[in-house]
Amino acid sequence: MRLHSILIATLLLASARDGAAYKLIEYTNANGQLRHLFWGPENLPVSWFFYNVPPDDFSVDVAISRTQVAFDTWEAVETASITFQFSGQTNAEPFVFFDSINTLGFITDPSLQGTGILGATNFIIFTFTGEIAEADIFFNADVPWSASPDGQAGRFDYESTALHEIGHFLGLDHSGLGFMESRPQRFVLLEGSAVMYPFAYPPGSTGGRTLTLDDVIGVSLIYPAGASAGRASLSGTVTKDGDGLEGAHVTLFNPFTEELIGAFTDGGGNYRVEGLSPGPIIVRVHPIAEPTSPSDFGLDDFLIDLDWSVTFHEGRAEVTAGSNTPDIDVEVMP
Amino acid sequence: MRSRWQARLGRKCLVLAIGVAWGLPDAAEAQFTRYRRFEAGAFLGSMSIDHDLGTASNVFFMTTGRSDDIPFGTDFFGARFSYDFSPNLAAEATYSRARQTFSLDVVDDLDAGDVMLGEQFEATQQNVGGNLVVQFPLEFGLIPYGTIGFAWVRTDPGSEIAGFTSESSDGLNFGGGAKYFFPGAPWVGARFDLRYQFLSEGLAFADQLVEPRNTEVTIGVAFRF
Repeated sequence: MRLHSILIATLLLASARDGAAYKLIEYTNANGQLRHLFWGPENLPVSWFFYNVPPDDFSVDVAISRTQVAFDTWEAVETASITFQFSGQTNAEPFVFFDSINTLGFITDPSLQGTGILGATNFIIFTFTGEIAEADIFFNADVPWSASPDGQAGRFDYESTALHEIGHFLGLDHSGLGFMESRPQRFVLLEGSAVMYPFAYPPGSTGGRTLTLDDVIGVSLIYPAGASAGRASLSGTVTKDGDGLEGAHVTLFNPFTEELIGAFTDGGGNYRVEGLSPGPIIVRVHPIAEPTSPSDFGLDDFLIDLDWSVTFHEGRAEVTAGSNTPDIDVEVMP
Repeated sequence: MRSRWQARLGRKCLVLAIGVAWGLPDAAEAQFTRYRRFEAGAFLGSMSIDHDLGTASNVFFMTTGRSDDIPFGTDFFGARFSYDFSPNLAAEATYSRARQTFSLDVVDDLDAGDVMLGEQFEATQQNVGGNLVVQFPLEFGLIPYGTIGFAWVRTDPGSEIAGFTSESSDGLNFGGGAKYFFPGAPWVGARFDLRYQFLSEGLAFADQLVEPRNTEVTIGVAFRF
């Protein structure tokens, strides 16, 4: 058995704290190799079960139907090859691992009260490869939920949260592409933010039901399918005082298509973004800002330098189909 | 080898034939038939361009774009060819080519403020026009004139832009200028032109309609034959 090579991966939370591009869940294995999480071809379609205890707000059947819509949304991405299969209801609670089934469901846990946590995803993986062996998702039953197609005032949209958690279930980490507008005593997520942004849209909103290009590019990198001809990439280095800057959020915007994609720089300050449409690209680099923190993106809160200003690349950054535009470097200032 | 006399005779025969073809047989026009009706020339100049690309936004910032003006030089050049129906009325065909650059202006209110990103991409503008020319020849060789006509403009980006291969537009031209033909060599002259152009559409950000306006100032040489 390969159980000795299995571990439980980092818990990924979706939070409703009124509180930043595609990013894969990555880690370095025992051989020093960078790996990302994925479902292996032998596990497709990925089977999922639903825990048979309903939330207060709707039935298990309604929950399953809205969850199926969320799975279908990811499955419909043309440039990705991932399939799912609903396998039935189960008595097994989510987050009970090594039961060989992938369970989604609502749980009531006193430790979740007041945390603002809407849901979470956890995995068992083969550490040498990154292949997912089992994954569960829970949703916090103490939160007021809506399964209405049009949303419901004062209630969080279940389908949006399921879509976000299934993104983790596929191996996506949090995206930095979101903007929280500061309002009295709270932050509100603006429309157009990535589904994989760590914070949810406010109660009543159904804004999180549509994948952005950033989400699509992320899942397409893990499960590539179809022609990616016509797409381009861009790379460069972000530096501060001449040294590579880790954890800088780089956003790339094509004003002709209004496509926005982002990425975080690695330990050397390097970034590379795939999936761009050809054309002129506006490159903006910014530090992770409140209400998010580096740990929301799998980075170390104590090691990431946030003391610098938003900076734009002022030279040309044109990308052409099927090729990489290199050396789009940005030096940021304190 | 043909003598100069033979050459002149041949040219007069050509002019006469055209005169007949256009039906200009009376005395005044007989004088005009000795006049050189065809004119060809080349020019270069500058172009002031009023061409906004529109607005594009995302969760972080808003972007506007515009064409930069083209300074006097070889980035804007062309040729004109005309035929005089009479001393006061001519038809003119024009072709010009311009290298445009576009700049972007980013408004990032909460963080970076207003940031100008100059010369972010370029495009080649090819412009074909057909104009009527009303001209007023003066005795000392100066010919002031005014023009009006149509334009057809094609814009090709310097490098690929998604969803955009080229942009074609119709438009309206009007303007004027002056030509001066040297008394000692009336087949060669210098010209100055000021032209204004309305275009019905142009390169723009997604789903936006723009109507560029070009103001051309050119100088050139003209040859009559």
